[in-house]
Amino acid sequence: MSLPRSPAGAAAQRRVVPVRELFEQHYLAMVRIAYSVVGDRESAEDVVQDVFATLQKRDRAAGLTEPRHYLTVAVLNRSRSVLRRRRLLRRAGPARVEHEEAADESTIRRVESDRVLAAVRRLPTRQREVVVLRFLEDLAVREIARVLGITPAAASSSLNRAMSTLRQRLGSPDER
Amino acid sequence: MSDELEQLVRGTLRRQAAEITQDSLRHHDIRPVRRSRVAPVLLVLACVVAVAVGSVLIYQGHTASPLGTPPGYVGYQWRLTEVATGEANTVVSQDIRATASFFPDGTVVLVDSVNALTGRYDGTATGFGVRGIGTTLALYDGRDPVRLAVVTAVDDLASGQHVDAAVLGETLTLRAAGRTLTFQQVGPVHPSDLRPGPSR
Repeated sequence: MSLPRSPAGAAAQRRVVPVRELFEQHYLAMVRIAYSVVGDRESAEDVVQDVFATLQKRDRAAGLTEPRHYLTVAVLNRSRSVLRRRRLLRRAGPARVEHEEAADESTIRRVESDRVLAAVRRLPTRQREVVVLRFLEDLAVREIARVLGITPAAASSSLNRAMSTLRQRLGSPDER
Repeated sequence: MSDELEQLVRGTLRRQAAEITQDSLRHHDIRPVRRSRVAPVLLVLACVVAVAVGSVLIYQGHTASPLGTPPGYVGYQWRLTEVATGEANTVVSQDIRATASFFPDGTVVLVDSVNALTGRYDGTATGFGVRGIGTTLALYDGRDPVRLAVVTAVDDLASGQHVDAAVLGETLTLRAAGRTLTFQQVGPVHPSDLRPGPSR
């Protein structure tokens, strides 16, 4: 999957998409991205609301050639701010892995999900963003680099480091 | 294993994302921008502080200088052009040599058209004070009202009282003892200003 681009040379024919329409098209997807990065729904919605409110206030939609790309970048930027603010307020708490009772398959899956999410959330912000863009948004490394404003080599390196860390934290499938 | 881990992360992130559905969203429209009530108050306070600091700096002669740099009158010789009291303004013609030279090392030389007074000046928040004055001992027994006004005004600057100073462009205004003395910049101080002699 790649972020949709406007066709080259089509600027003159480009339709100006109202912010309201962008909201309807992308709000849910952006909240999901933000949620994967910041880790709680309330903050995720706040992040995306702020992005759209700013867009509306500045009437920026008219100049957006790649709305999805712009929104993803803006959401990640604001998510980063949330994480920074949170780090200032308190050190990240321990991972939420407290399910000890043996249970049915759905509970086991939930426990495993919690482990994976906790491991992803403990990654450094940049690595976490790369993982979310790669596995949630299905972006290619080149696209990830474009969204984050880094080189493809740096994006690839971040992804490799993130996966290496996750492998260590989660253990091999046999150990789980 | 790598693929398995990727599948695990991908699946987990997507399951988590899928928990958020259109129906579960708290907002279904763009909410208005929240306006802080504190921000306007802080803005007003910042403006007040900026104006106050700016006024003090300008009054001191720091018109374009950052804090910690010398006042604008330092390093220049200034020629007295007018003495104003509450009652009268006296214009000082160019043939009457009355100057103030402020050396960067803290030496000040005041020439009142008859004598040269040399001492030290100490900068304050709004101007300076002069101390340790030594003077030549020439006498003036004339009756020229302008020269008498100049001698009195310049000598008052050296009396040890606080002098308010303000520089605006090439004009220096000093206020002391109910008088306002206006000077025009002559140029940078020169070592010869330390010795009483003919005007430059």
